[in-house]
This record gives sequence, structure tokens and C-alpha cells, in this order.
Amino acid sequence: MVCGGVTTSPSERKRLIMHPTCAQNACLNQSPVVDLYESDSNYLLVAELPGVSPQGITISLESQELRVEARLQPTEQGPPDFARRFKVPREIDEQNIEADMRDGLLSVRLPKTPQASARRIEVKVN
Amino acid sequence: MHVLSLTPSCVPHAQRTTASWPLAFSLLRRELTRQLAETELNIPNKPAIHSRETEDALILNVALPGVTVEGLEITGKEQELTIRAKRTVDVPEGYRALHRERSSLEFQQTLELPASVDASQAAAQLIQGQLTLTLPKKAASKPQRINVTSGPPGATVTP
Repeated sequence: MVCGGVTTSPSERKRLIMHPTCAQNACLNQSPVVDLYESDSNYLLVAELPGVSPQGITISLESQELRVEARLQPTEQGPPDFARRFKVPREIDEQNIEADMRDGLLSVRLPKTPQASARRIEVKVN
Repeated sequence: MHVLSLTPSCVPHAQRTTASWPLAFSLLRRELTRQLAETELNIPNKPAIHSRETEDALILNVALPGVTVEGLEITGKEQELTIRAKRTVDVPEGYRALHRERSSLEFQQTLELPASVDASQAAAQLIQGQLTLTLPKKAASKPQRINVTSGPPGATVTP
């Protein structure tokens, strides 16, 4: 199956708990290209937003939906130049989400709640 | 169960009406549409270039997210401008990939410029992954203001 250009096997799909809810170039013409990563304690989203300054970025999280919107002109109203939504797992420490913009790449780090991290470590040991 | 809940969200808005199709058909259609789009646009190795013109210069914007100054080389001679850009996309340390769309990039493009600009005078700026090239126009190609004088009183224009 393909979700936004990445082929995954059925077993891999089950692990895929953080994922874009719209494919690249599907929901909106200007969906940024993204990578999603996971570590034992964090999820990491990397989105390509060339020419966007940190002031032009809006990130919101509501009912397990992460929304990234970016405007090339931060002061401008109206529809964003880039936008994409993601489904995130329930076990996210919402208070400690961090975002960083460098070389036109937006990195959003979503820490897992301590319980979620601990559970994962338990599985690893066994 | 998880598989099914994942699938509809990947189907583009335009195809939502076909949601009642057998899953395999809609996935196949989506995949073909995607491949076709990728072939036509050549997404992976062709950064978008936008150009605009002012009175004094031709301005080119090239989207190069993730490219740093070190990974960029621009050479210009008269009517030719060559942009070489390189970036590598690695999985960050300690992480594993869940979903990947970004790829390493090695890009080279030579642009033919109009005779009115001089590529050797180009100025380049890389800000937040966007390259802005300012190519000044040659003096002769800039619009020249022509002063209009009024003739002596009573003078007539003869064809």
C-alpha cells in the first residue's frame, strides 16, 4: 500500500501510528513533503517549507490531529501557502512539543508521555 | 482494523466519492495517479523555479529546502547560469523512519538567460532553503527615460 509515496508492508502498517492524514499533492496543492520518525521517547516530523520564516508557521494539535500551516508572508491573511494534517497517537506529551526551523526544514518533536516511553522499554527488555 | 482506518485518510479529497469501491481498486487507482503525476512533474530532482522581472533585474527563486550554503554552487557566464545543489537526507540518530517522502538530492540545472541580463553579475542569497538570484539587467536593456521637449511656439510637425 502506498501512503504519500512510501510503500509499506501490512506488518509495517500496523506500527505506523503517526501518519499524514492526506497524501502529498493530494488534499491540497501545496502539501509540504514530510518525513516521520520515531524513537523510544519521541516522534519527529520533518517538513520541507522553503522560504518560510519561523513567524509564518502555525502548528496546532487538537483531538489527535496535528495541523501544520505555513505562510510565505506571515502578515498575510487568507489560506496558507502550505498546509498538512497528521494523525498522532494519544500518548503525546502535548505541553512539551518543540518546533525548530532551519534551512527551510521544519522539525517538530513530539515527546511521548513517560508512561508510553516506559511501556516501550519494557517490551524491549522482554 | 488499524489497516482499514488508515486507508481512507490517504485517499485524496477528489476521490472520496469512490470510497465505496473495493479497496484494492481505489488503491490501485491512487497509486497509478501518483506515479503518473511523479513522472510528469519529475518531483524528486527538479526543484521549483519561479522567475519575476523588475525594472532593474531578473529575479529567480529556487526552492532548495535542506540545502546549505556548503551544498550549493552557482556559476555564471554571460548568458548561462548553472546551479548545482546537493543535500543528503539521513534518518536522525536514535530514530527509525515511519514514513518517508524526502530524498537526498543532487541537482544540476543550466539556465539560458535572456540577452538583457549578465549572469556574471548575479547576486545569490539562500534564506530558509530558498535561493534568490538577482540578475541585474544590462544598462542598455533598462528602460531609458526619453525627455520630451516642447518645440518653439508656432513650430509645426512635418511628416
